[in-house]
Amino acid sequence: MASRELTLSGSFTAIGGKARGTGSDVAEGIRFIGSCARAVASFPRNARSLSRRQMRLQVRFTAVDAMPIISGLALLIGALVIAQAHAQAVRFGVSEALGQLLATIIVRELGPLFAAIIVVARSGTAIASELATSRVMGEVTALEALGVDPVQYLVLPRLVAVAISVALLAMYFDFIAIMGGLVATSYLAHLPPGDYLESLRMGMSSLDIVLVVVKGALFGFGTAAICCWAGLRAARTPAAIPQGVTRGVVLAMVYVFAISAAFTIGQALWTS
Amino acid sequence: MDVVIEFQHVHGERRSVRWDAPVSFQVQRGQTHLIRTTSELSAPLFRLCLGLSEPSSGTVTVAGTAPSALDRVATREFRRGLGSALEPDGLVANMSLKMNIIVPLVFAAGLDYEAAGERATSILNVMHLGMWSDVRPASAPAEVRQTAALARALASRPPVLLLENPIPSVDNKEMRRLMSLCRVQSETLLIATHRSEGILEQFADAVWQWDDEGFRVAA
Repeated sequence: MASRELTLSGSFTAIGGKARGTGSDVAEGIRFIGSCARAVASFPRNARSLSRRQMRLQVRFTAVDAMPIISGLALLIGALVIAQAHAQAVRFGVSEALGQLLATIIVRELGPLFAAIIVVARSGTAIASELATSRVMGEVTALEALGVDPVQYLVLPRLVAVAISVALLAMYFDFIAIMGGLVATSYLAHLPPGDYLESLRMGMSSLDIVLVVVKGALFGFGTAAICCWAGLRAARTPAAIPQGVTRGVVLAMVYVFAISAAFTIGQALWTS
Repeated sequence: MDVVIEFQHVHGERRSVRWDAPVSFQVQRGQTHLIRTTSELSAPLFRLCLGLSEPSSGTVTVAGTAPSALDRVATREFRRGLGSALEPDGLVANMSLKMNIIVPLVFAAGLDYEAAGERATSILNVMHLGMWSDVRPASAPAEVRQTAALARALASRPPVLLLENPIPSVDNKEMRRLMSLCRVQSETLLIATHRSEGILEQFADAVWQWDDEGFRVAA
C-alpha cells in the first residue's frame, strides 16, 4: 500500500515537474519572440548588406540544395496519389476529376507540408546544431562580449531566409507533383494532358497559390525560430548539442502539423 | 587620475562558486594591470567586468558604470566601448578569420560592410595574419587563432581592453610586439595570464597574484 502511494506521489511529482518545465519553456519562448521583435526594431541599417549575404547562403542551403530531394519526392507523390486515385475514379466514372483531386490533396495540403518536413529534417537540424555548438564553444558569449546582439546576427537572417525558402519549395513541390500527376494520368488513365491540366485549373484558384505561399512562409519562419531558440538555449556542455537538436526538431514538427491543421480547419469553416 | 575598472569586496558571481577571499582593486586610466591567476578565477572576473554575470556581493564598476545594473540595450552599448578577448577564443567556426573581425565591426561598431572589410584587412596585416584572412579558425594553428581573437578585440579601437590569457601559444618576440601594439591602441588594459614566465610583466604598471591565498600584489 505504502509503495503504491509512493509510486502515485512520484507520478504526480513527475507530472508537476513536466508541467513546470513546459511552463518555463513557454515563458522562454515568449521572451525569445520578444527579443526577436526588439532585434528587428533596432536592426542597424549598416548591417543590411552583411545580413543579405547570410540570407543568400541560408537560402542556397535550405532551398537550392534541397531541390533534388524535393523533386524526387514530389514526382513520386504526384504519381502515387494519381495511381491510387485512378482505380477508385474509374469505378465511380470520374476519371476526369483526377486533376481536381491532385489540386485538393497535393497543392493545398501535402506540398507545403512535405516541403516543411524536408526543411525541418535538413535545415532545422543544421540550424539547431550549429547554434548549440556556437553556444558550447563560447562563440555566442564572445559575440555578446563585443556588443553584438546574437539575435540580430544569428537569428533574424535565418528566420527570413528559411521563410522564403519553404515558400519557394512548397511551390516547387506542387509544380513537380503536378508534372508527376500528368505522367501518371497519361499512362494510367489515358487522359490527354490538356484535359488533365483543365481539370487541375478548375480545381484550383489564385487563393490556393496565395495560401501555399503564406503557409510555406509561416512553416519556414516558425521552424527557423524554434530551431534557433533550441540551439541558443543549450547549456554549455557537449551533451547539450544533441539535446538541443532533438528538442528543436520535435517542436518544429509539432508546430508544422499544428499550423497545417489550423489552416485546413480554417479553410473548411470559411468555405462551409 | 580616473578609475576605469574597480572591484570592491567582490566575492564572485551570483549563483556560482564563492571566492575564498574578496577581491578589491582599481585600474586607472592609462594603466595596464596584470593578474597572474588560473582560468577558474579569471573567467568569472571578466564576465563580471563585461556584465555577463552579477557579483554576489560588493561592486564592480567599469568605465564609471556598474555593468550588472544595466538593461539589455544599455549593456550592449556599454560593451561596445570595451575590447575583449576571452578564453576560449570564441571565433565563429563557420566564418573566415576576416569575417570574424568584420561581424563585430558591422553589428557593434556601426561600420558599413566595405569599411569593416578594409579595417579587418588592415588589422590582420598589422598582426601578420594577412595570409590567414580567408581561412576558417579550425584550419588555423593555435597561435593564429589566438592572435586573430586579439585582432578582433583591437579592431574597434576600444579605449579599454580586457584580455583573458592572451596569445598563450605565441613566441616571446611576437608576444612583445603584439602587447606593445595593444598598449598603443588602447589606453587602459586589464590582462589575466595563466603563464608563469614574466613577459607580460614588462608591460604592466601593476601585477597582482590571485590564487588560494587570495588576491594580492605580486611579489
